Amino acid sequence: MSPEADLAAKAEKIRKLGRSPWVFPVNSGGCNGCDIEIVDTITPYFDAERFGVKVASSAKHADILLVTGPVTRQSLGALMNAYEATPEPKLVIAIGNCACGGGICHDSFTVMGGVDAVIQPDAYVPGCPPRPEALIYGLLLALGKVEQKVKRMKFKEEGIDETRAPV
Amino acid sequence: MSNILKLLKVGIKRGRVTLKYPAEKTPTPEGLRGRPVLDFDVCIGCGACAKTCPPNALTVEEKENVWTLRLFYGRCIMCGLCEEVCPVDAYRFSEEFELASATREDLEVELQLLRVKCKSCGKYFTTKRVLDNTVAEYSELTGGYAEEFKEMIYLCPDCRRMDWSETLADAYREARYES
Repeated sequence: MSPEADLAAKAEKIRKLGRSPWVFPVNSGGCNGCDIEIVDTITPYFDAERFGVKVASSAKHADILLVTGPVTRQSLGALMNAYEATPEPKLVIAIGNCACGGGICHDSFTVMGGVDAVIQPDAYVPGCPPRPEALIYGLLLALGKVEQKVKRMKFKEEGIDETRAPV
Repeated sequence: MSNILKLLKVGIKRGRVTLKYPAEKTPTPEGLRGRPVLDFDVCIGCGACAKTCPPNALTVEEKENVWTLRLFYGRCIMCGLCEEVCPVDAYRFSEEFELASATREDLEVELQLLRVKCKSCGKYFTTKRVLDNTVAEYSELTGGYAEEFKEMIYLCPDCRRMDWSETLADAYREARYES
């Protein structure tokens, strides 16, 4: 199943639940910047509660895990515990550069280098930290409400042989 | 009760503050650094951006005749250093911040340029666009002086050093025999 179809199926499941998607932020060893942006997002100015999003106090009550941080070895167990405690169907969203691809800590021996090293996230939200609007956008993307804007770009200068792989 | 009335008064006076975000565009501050956009036609392939990038979002791979630059937005911290060091201003910071994507591949940008061979030893050493840029800039600066050194520009750094030292040695020998 392609990632997009998988994501749409999961969002459909959450929609069928007939309730608001509750989120649970998990800090897996980040600098706390992204967590502050998550708090920003639920203030009346940005108001994520318009979409029914509410921050749950336990992973057992949540539908969506917001994972921040590069997943340090110390926090790996806590992250897996939170992931296993979340009832199905669940979504995982990687918030911030550290969670997306390791960020500035990507080559350290103490980190796993992003959430996708342990769990496959359903949406990536890059930014260091991402703006609250970007967070709302990523959340709506995971729920299948908005279209994706970025696309893979590739450019080849004329004369590069397409068939022959560079040795 | 009086507290609630007070709050109500403040609320009515202030009006609605919530942004209608996905429906309407939000105001962005001036000079906001969003996603760096690489201009494929302008980039010469010197690799200065990859050397300066703090989180290694930009990486360079050199294989035979292909020079590959990869930009991964999932690691880019929008610091603006690549824009600062770029000699040809190939980077532009757009105001796009909605970079969320469902897959990791969609966050990647790849640019492949041709490399050229050294005229003396035949090793690949730099991209064609860097050489063209160097020739153009040098002849503009010196007014045609570059013609004498044009052969030297197409040599790799090692061969260039050898060539130059041989020229010096010849000049020294000539001067010695004349005297």
